[in-house]
Amino acid sequence: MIVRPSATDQKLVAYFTAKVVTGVGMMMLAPLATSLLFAEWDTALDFGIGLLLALMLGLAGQTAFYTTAALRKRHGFVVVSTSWIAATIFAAVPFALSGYLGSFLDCCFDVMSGLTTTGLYLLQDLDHVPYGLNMWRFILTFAGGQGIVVLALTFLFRGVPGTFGLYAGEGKEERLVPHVVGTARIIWLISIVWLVVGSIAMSAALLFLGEGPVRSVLHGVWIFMGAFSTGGFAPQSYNTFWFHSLGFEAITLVIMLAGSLNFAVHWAAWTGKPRELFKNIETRTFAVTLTALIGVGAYGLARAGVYPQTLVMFRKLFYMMVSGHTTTGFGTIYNRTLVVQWGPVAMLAIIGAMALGASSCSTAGGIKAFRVGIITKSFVRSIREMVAPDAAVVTARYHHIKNEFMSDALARGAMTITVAFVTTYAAITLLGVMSGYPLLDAAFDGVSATSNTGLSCGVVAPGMPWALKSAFIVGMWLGRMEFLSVFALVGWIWATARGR
Amino acid sequence: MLATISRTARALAHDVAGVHDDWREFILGIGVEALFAGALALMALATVQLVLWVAA
Repeated sequence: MIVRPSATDQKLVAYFTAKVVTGVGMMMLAPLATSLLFAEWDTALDFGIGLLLALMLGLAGQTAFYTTAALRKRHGFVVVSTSWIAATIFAAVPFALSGYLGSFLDCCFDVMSGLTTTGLYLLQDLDHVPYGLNMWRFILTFAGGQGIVVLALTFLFRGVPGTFGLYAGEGKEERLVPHVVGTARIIWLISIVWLVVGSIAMSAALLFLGEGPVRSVLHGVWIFMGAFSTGGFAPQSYNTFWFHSLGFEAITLVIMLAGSLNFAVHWAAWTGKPRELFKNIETRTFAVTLTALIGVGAYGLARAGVYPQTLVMFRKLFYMMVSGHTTTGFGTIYNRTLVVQWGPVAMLAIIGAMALGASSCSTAGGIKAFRVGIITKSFVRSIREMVAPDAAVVTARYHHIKNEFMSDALARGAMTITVAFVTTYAAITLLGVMSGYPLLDAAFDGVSATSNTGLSCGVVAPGMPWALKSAFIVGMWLGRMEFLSVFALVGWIWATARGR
Repeated sequence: MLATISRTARALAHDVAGVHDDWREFILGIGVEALFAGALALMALATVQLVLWVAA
């Protein structure tokens, strides 16, 4: 028998969703202040309207659905899903008022892309967008990288019991310290320290490259946010290709890789265990898959004969592969260069990198190196079991912060999520082909969206069919939530409709 | 709610300000993370060289 959620359960979900909506309204203070600072009055008005709407409805929701009932894990997963839907709609309001996007669906696409740290966009005339609107894009991607519910956990949900469901629902199950709110605070501490160090480095690089002081600081902070949150948004339509600078590329590479590391690995490296970086199952798996896929990409580029000089090929290939594998989406080539010059082998290598993704409990997307490592170890264990004597007990171990034995449940869980990812990659590719795009192009952009990467070979454009835009929005959301929260919401709706 | 935000922001600011107590470890941590990126770049360069050598 399916148990229908009670009125109290529904109130709980609505109450916490309203809290997140209020938080989204407060986040709009930053772009509003930026617009006012640069005398962008129209943009300031857009954000004023968006902020008032989110605050009014958020506070009204908190008053109307106020409850002292305890939050349980099952509520947490549903709250995360409903919060992301509500946050997307409210955060899209300033985009819709700005007139830079063709429809409200396009606005939701860009917001979902920002919050999920994907980096694909339908915004038009990016090179002339006001500072305030650009600030909003990067705030969305930075907050989304850490998790909007992690943000709310840090600032809005203090002292609320049962918050682990909220934390886990956003695809971060790891506890850096026993307390979930403490873990959320450490995640923000790491991000803020990197924000300071990375923004100074980026701004100095841009100043050195000849940008003015104001643009150096703003673009430095924004590009840091785009890199560390593995978001891939840039303030120019040519993305990072616009800078043509080896030093700039080196700094963004370090920040992209740092953003794709598990926060637990960061914390270990920062608290006296720097060797963790070289022992961890995730970093080792990432190093192996990155190197192997770079080998495949190099073979493809050599066959295509695009870059006669080895170092030029290495520079382009390494940047694009790291950008794809960390699921950032920064690019140092034109989108169509992938199809026209790089060819199918190199494109398939990047699709593989995007599909696999980087570390769990990081800002990165994709299947995640931890699952890839565990599945590989599970295969090896199966082979060892086949050749071992009948009475032998074959075990497998892995290192993640400490040495652990791999359980069947862990391998099964990793396999389940991987199958869900691969199925979604296939479904979204099929939809792209049905919309009239070539198979490889559809696969490239489809996998890019679902793995929250943001590289594009040209499919994502304002003129793409609305059905495909909608599918990409759902794909980005599913990939970021790692399916469980979305499945929980579907189950919740089903139980509400059919339960007893 | 504003009191909660203010209290947490103060606590987070205290955490960030407290970084200077452990700044050597934090800088070492960031340095090792940059070293990790460098090691990956070297591995990638060696791989590209190897592939080009074999393909030739």
